Formats: sequence, structure tokens, C-alpha cells
Amino acid sequence: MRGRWRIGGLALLLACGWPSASFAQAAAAAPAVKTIDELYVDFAVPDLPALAALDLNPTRISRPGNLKELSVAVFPLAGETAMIGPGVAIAWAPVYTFANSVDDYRRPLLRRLAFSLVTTQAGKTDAINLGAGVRVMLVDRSDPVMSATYQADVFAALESGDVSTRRSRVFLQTEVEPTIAKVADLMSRDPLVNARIVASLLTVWDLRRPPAPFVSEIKRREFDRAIAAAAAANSVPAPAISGALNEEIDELVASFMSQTFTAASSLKARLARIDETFRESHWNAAVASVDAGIVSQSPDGTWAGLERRAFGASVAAAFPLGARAQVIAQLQGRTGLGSDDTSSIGGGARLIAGTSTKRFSAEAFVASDDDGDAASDGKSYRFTFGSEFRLARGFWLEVAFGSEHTPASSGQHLLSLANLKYAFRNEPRFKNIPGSAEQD
Amino acid sequence: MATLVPMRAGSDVVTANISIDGIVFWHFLYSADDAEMAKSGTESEIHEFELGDPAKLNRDVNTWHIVLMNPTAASVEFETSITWTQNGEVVATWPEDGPQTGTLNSKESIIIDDSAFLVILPDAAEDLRNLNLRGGH
Repeated sequence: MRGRWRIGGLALLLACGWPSASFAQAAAAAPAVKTIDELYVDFAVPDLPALAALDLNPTRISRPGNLKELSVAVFPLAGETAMIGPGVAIAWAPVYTFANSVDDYRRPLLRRLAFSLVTTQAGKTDAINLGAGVRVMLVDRSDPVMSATYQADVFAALESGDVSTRRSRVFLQTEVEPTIAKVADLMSRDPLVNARIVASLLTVWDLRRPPAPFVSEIKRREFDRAIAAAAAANSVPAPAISGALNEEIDELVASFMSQTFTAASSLKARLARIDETFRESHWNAAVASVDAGIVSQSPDGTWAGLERRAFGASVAAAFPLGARAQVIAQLQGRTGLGSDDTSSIGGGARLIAGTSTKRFSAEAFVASDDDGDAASDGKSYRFTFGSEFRLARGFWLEVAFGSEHTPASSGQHLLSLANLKYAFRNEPRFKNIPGSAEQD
Repeated sequence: MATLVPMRAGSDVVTANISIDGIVFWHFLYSADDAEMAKSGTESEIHEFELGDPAKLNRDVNTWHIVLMNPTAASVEFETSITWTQNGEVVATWPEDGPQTGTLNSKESIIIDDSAFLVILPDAAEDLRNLNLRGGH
């Protein structure tokens, strides 16, 4: 059932947001374009496979990493090139669709795959690039799901709340049940009705659910209302509670108020600390992936006009450089298919230094293109310097400046890049799950 | 309302079956009168906890809590439920109207807790079991 819902959701997203050539043309006319490259923000922000393999990424060195279940990108905020104009991309990591447990997630193949689709306008022309790509994760030491230490720390936190459940059972069994059995006996002697009344009244006395406000009179009124509700639900008269039983209930209220768990659970804070510790120690951990894809171009922006197919692939690896830095190295190649006899090969590196929330970056990239078009034939190179910040939870800004040389131009010219990354859903979709005591 | 678990008198033992499904780290504690089951894990499976003979369990209160945490970078769905069986027959379910389902965002956690009242109902058990299985009261 869950899988069908997810597949249905994917189908709906594709139906609504398929990055068609005409859509890309509309995007080209938009005065401002922002980048949103993932649904759920992690400390590693991977680039999409189709962008990486097909030389369609505004930042040439693509960061390897696991993708979210569904990711979208709208780009670039700034930094259009002759190849890359405004565009959109989506990506899908099938592990989240098909896995039903962490054990499923950890299986060798499924979690390593991601697929993506992208369309961009070719520079400021009417031509449209359409690409499809696949990513295979070779190594990902930054994934907490795969960390035995992280799992052990989380389990220790999850197991910290057992005492409240044990104490609540003892209280319900030894103090509550004898008293409410007397109340239920006043209401009905029918075994089934009597048992149902007891079950309904037990919930009122769960030590894990303190009254709000924390006042004895409120608790007593809550119990009286529960008795009235149970009488109505079982079509029996409300009981006439005697003085002795009345005093017994008051004593039960006093006992409940002295034993109930009033302190807020520390689970949320403990898990946040575990997560922060892991982020700080693993943000620059070793990650490696292979991306491959096919791209086609339509000179007039129509589906019928798609031509100039090309195949591209890239290998990217990130590894730590001390405790505060990371180096990403990348090699990529692209070759034309069919009548397209163009080819390209390139490589570069990106240095990132900082923390899990603030980083400086420097990037250098060199490529050699073999193309019949003189404007694209020859060597190109570029370098950029920049930084990326986590402005708030789920909100990242990346800005870079630099210089670029292309075959079409003599000398070098300045370039600038800016990406804005935002998590769409930071809030729980269902805030009021019955019986839930805590949500993040 | 605590879940009412109607038992038949006799020697057929009663079992609680705890089910958890989802890409989550999970932990649960099921506390009965003289025994408890506490487990943590990563797999998706049903955990059988044999509670014992009905005569020993009559008018017992059981409590439990299930804690789930999503360690992944995406949102994940979860599903959890408990069934009580006697001689292979389901006599009660929690929640009454089907499995507890929901969604956890990345690194989000949730605690779900409740209680049950186990009682021998020789005459009306069949009616109540039918009522439980229909999700009614």
C-alpha cells in the first residue's frame, strides 16, 4: 500500500512538473531564477546525476552524495554560460520508494542508485538541452544510516524512556484497577459492559499523560467526565458514587499527581545532539560516485526537434583533508552519438574548508572540447572562490566568483555563481498522531 | 480507551504480536505483569511475545511504548500495530481501526504509547471479538 502511494505521488509530480522543452522556454523568459536543489536538506548537498554527467552543472565540480527521495533543481540563480541557461531538474532515489526498513535501505544495490531528468536552455539561444542520468554511489561514509556508532547512540537515546512505561503499568494495575473496578461494578454487572467501562477509564490514569494544567481538581474533573462518557457509550446510568469511594478516588488523584511524569522528555534534545555530533565529525567524510547520462538538444525547443544526442559520464570522489576541509576531485567525458561527432574531456578539483554550517570553497576546472563549431572547439578553464552558509535549518546560500576562459573568447572574463537551497518540508505532515507523546 | 483484550478461559496461551514497518530505528517496551519484552532494531518484522495462560492474565493491565526515529535524509513513512492472539485467532488489535501510520521527516522521532486491559469473557467474548475486528465499540 505504501509503495503504491509513493509511486502515485511520483507520477503526480511528473505529471505536474515534467521539465518539458516548452517549460524551459517559459523559464528562460522569467526575470529571476532561483535554485532549489533538494526537498530535504542534509549537510552534504549533492548535485544531480544528470547535471554532473552532462556538463550541465553551473558549478563544474559536482559534489557526490546520496540524493533525497525526490529532489528538484531550478537553476541558475546567476552564472549562465553558453551551454547552461535557465533550467529545471528532478531526481529520484528509489530506495525510499521500495525499502520498508533500515535493513532494506542497507542492502548493497538499492541505496546506491539515483535517477534524474533535466532540461535547460542552451545559453541565451532558443535551443533546449534534455538529459537523463543515473548515479551509482560507490562509497558514502557520511551516511548516518550506515554508521554503527550512530545507531548505537540513537538506540541508547530511544531506550532511555522505558521507566515511565513500567511505572505506569504498576500504577494502573495495583492502584487504579481496583478502584475503577468498583466504579464499573456500580454501572453494570454485565461482564462485557463492565470490562469495556474499566478499559475506557484506565486511560485517564496513564502516568505518561499528566493533566494540563497540572492541578488535582482538573484531574478529578477529567475522571468524572470519563465516567459520564463511559455511561453514555454503554447506555448505562451514571453511578452514584458513595462517600467512601469518593474519598478513594480523591486519594487516587493525589497518588497520580505525585507519580506522574511531569518533566518533558529529553529524547528530542538527545537525538539532536547525536545528529549534530555526527554532522560535525562526518561532513567531510569520504564519498565517491559514478554518474552517467544521455543528453539531446532541440535547436527550436520542440520535442520533434531533438537531435545531437551525446553520452556523458563522470567520476567524483570527496575525501577529508584534516578535520576542517574536504577535497572533491572529478573526471568527466562526453561524446556525441550518431551524427554528432563532438567530444569533451575535463577534470578539476574543489576544496571546501570550514564547518558543517559555514564553508569556504575554491574550484578549478580544465576541459578540452572537440567540436565542429569554432566557438566551442578548444580548451577552456575556470576557477572560482566562494562560500556556502546554512542560513537557517533547511536554508543554504552558495555564492562564488571567479574567472573563465572559453574557446569563444580571447583572454579571461569574470563569472559569478549563486545557488539558493531550501527544504520544502521541515514540519511534520501529521502533527496530532493519537498516542504520540513527542514529535520532533 | 485502553484496548480491551477478551480472552477465552482454558489453556490456550495469549500472545502479543508487535509489528513495526518503516525505514526507522525503532525501540519498544511491552510491559506485562511478570514479564516484559524490550527490543531495539532496524528490521521490519513481527515480534511475538507470549503472555501466558488466560487465568494468570485475567484483569491484567499491560502498557507499552514504541519509539521511532528516522535516520535518513528523506521523509519516511511508518506503520505499527499490535495484535493479541489466542490459539492463533486474533482476539484484539491496537489501534482498533487499523495500524498506526504516519510520516517522519529527516531525523524526526515519535513516541507512541498506550495500554490494554486483559479479561476473561466466557460468554460475550465472541461478540466483542467481532466488534473489535470491525473497529467498533
